[in-house]
Amino acid sequence: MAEIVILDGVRTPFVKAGTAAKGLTAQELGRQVLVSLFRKVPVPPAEVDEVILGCVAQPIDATNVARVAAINAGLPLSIPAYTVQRNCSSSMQAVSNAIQMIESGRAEVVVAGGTESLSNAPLIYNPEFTEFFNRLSKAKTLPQRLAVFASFRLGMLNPRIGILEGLTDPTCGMIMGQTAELLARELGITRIQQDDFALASHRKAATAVSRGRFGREIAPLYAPPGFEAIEADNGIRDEATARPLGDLHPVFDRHHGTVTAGNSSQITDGAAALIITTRDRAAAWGIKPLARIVGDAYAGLEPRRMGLGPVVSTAKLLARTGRRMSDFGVVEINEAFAAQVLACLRFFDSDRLSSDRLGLPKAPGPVNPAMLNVNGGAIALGHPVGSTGARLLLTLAHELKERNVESGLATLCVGGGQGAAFALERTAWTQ
Amino acid sequence: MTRTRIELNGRVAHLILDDPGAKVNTLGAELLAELAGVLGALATDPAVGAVVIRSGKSTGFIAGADLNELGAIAVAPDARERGLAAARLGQALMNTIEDFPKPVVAAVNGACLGGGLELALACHGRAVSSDPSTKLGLPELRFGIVPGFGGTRRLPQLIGLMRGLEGILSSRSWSGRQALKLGLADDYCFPEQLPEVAEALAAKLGDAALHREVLAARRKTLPAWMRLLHLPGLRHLLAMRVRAEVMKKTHGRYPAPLRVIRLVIGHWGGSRDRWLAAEAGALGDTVSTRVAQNLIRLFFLGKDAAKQAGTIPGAAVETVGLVGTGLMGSGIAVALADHAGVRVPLKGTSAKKLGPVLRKVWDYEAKRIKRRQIERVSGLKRFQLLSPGTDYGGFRNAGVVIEAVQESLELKRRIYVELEAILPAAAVIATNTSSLSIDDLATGMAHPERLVGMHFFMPAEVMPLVEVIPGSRSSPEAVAAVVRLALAMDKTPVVVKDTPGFLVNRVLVAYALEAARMVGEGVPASRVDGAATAFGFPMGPVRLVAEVGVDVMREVVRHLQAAYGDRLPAPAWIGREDLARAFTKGRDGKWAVNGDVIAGWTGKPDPGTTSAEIEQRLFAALLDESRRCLLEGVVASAGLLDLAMVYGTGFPPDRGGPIREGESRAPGGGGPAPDSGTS
Repeated sequence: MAEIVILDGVRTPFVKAGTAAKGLTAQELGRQVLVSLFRKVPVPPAEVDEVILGCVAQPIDATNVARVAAINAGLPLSIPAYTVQRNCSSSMQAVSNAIQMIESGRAEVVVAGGTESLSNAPLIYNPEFTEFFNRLSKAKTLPQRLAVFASFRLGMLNPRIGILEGLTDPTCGMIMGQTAELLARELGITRIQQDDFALASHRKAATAVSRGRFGREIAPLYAPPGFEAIEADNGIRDEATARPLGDLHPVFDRHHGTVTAGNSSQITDGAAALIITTRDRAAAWGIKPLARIVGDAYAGLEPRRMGLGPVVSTAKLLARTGRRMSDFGVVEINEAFAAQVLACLRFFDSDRLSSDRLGLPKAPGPVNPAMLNVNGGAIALGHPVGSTGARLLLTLAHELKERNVESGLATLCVGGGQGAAFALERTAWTQ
Repeated sequence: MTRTRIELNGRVAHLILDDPGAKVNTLGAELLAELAGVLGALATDPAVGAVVIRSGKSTGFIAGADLNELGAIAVAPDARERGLAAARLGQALMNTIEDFPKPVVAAVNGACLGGGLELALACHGRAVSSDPSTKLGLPELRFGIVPGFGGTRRLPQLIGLMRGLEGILSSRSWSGRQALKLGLADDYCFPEQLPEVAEALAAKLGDAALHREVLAARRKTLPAWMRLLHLPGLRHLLAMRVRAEVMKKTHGRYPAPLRVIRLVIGHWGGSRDRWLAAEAGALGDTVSTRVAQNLIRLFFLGKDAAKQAGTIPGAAVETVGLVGTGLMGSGIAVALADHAGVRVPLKGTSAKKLGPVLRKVWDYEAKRIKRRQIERVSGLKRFQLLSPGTDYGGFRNAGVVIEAVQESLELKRRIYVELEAILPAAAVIATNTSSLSIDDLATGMAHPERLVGMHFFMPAEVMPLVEVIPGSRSSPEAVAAVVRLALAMDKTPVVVKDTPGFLVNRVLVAYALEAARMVGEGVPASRVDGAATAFGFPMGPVRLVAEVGVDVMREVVRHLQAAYGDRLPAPAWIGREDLARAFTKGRDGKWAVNGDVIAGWTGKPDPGTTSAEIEQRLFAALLDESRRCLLEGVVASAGLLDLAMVYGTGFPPDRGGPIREGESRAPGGGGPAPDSGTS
């Protein structure tokens, strides 16, 4: 079986929705990240077999956003492309698809990543208003039209807010933040613990930025109308000037909740793209890959407790690959919510919790806080849902080299009650 | 050698124009005669019920009159008579078509310009294709002449007086779709469908007399206010207004537009015979002017510019790298993305500097889209050809790299070393330097033969001239590649020698310094500038200093004085530290010259020099330096020098260029006297 690697990758800066990048659609973010990818990595675009991008808020005017982005990025038209969706782990799913294509002999070089513009998540006419338009278009005579107009009610103008509905799980009727609140309540995770965790995330991210740690990952974005270069993630709080986390009100449970905008991931625009290929192909190009992919796993659990997705998916990954938590020198658990990560950490370390509540034979194994999200996480950097998975892998791959450790874990919780987990490792023939 | 053939399809005769000796169809005397003969036969042939006129060439319908013939007429001693006769010949054919007893339909794909459109207009109906290359227009004014084959009558008759007049005066062309909307075309389809669509149109037209009814009916469909303008009093008011606008733009130096106004408005509603007789006379009058001679000459010189690539074959370049993000770099990026349509990996020193280049191209495309010159998707695709970065990623596949960074020898040399490390062996490096020697720049290169100067003029996205400067070691292949790239960018390349100032800047500085000297003698700056604009320059030399930039100008002058020593003395006031005080930028972005400030510096009273004397001195300085450049072999010919000066500095094209203007000022020189547009 071919050994499959992440050759290299780039990501755009992660930009808070509604700010500098709001003029960029998901297809345009995808185009820019692909252009940057091929500027950086000396792989001839003609040698790519497939382009796969994850995207959750898929643009209605760019169906199959991966294909639109690939064409606009100037890739040869003969290279097919498709878009995948597994909620927050969509871009990890893209990488998994790449792996499967390579393993089944359908491809040797795949561009896998994600693109997301939550700024452009649509507002949708509600059903009453849509119905109003339908009746209007069918009304031919003046009396008919007047009758339709007379049925107009102001309430029809209330839009459906795409992003709100997108973040609400219809199978359990809970918005993502409410699932975090549930875990916080059940495990007694306090407001202060969550805020401290959030603060740490921002601090670690700020340190990483000041060290230039993201320089090797980020390629600048240019957004109309002004085209000023966007070169850095803009969600990281400046401690000196930002409102204290303690001042914020809980958003998802207004009475006695603990989850706030400050200790949750941010709503963000961004894209990331990796080149997934085989060890042999990388050697043929004379390029040392970033890391080898050990394995991937997806698992399901009850949607109400989706935040524990990392636990079940990591358990599955360990079982499948034969690795142990103690093998990993760096761990990325996506920070959908501080409460959710803290809950996961408890489960990782508790056989009782893992078996009682998740039905696992045992806990995956404790996570050393010193090796967790060492450059900050989605609370500070933002969570452009379709792109986060690829970003975690990119940051993890670079961090293995940075810390000179052999292997690492990246895992996400996924709305709808799933988890995704990836393990990467360095070898003699990787960077 | 026949230029036409007939294909009979049922009762429809397809009269196919296909000149075996040329790439495009043009209406020369021989083709006109052949058509007259063919049509004569078709008129009486009982097997033929209708005629479709179309082209057998993929290059287009008919590109216009035969310019070689026109050029020959323009320089002949009896140009007026020959021009009139040529018009009569063409008009006769068009009348034959208009009066044809059977329906005649033109099926137009590609360029249908000048005489070609006049032929299509004479037909009873026109079907046009949706191909992007399809364009219809009467650009005769570009050559200083009026349309002479009935176009001044038939175009406004078909699309309305105002639109017709505006179309001729602006030399604009319409796409197939626009032609349909205007009523210029009766049907619109894909190119492959033209023959059958034209046949169906002919069938609909049936009786040729219907043509006149169709025309009359069409006039009714024009908007009411436009038809109002056809009324006598109003249309003469329109004539006055349009004439005033033309005079403002041309200062009366171009007689042809004024004749067009007189023809269209003066004869509106009048008889065909009188109108055409006046048109023929106008063609004779205008083609015999020096303006027409000069414009036609410049046209041929521009076409010849492509020959400077020699016979060296070369593949089309798909990727052109660009290093440099300043004002010039941005303009060059626009020309590369929009005109040449090549991939442009762009390198800047920082992401911050790259944004403005992208913005410039974006705004340029947005404007074209808004003006409906291109489709939105097309504009986006052109913008997406740029890939910005702070490294040389993407340069690996470049066939040519244009270097447009600041004028620093060390910086440029360093860049060439960096480029040579990654460029393919055959890649050429073109430098936009304006003041450094190509040979100096090539020092230290592994392959100095790949370096050629490619000097653009500001604004680079607009100015058509590119000076191509081979160094002593530049290979012919590299020079040819740069010439070809310039042509692909829709620029006009002129090869010049690698001497300080090359050609254009050197001549321009000599001229500007003479202006400065006059100002130093006390002549008001406004009078100097006024004399230059009256001569025909878009702006005067003193204001030019401000537009170029005081520091840039000083640097250029210094550089040229170092090379040409005391031949180009500069007056004291140019060397002042506070020179910038002489210019203020108005709210409209245009620079204004503060004559009083300068007068204060020079301290000299107005010596009373007349505008004529000023013009004399300015032109003498310009001509003198131009002649030196010719003698020194800076440029290969007088024609190329004139071409460069017209395209690079706005030297008035109607005067033909410095050498040409010099010839005409010489006693007894230069051909017929300028015509002021009599009758």
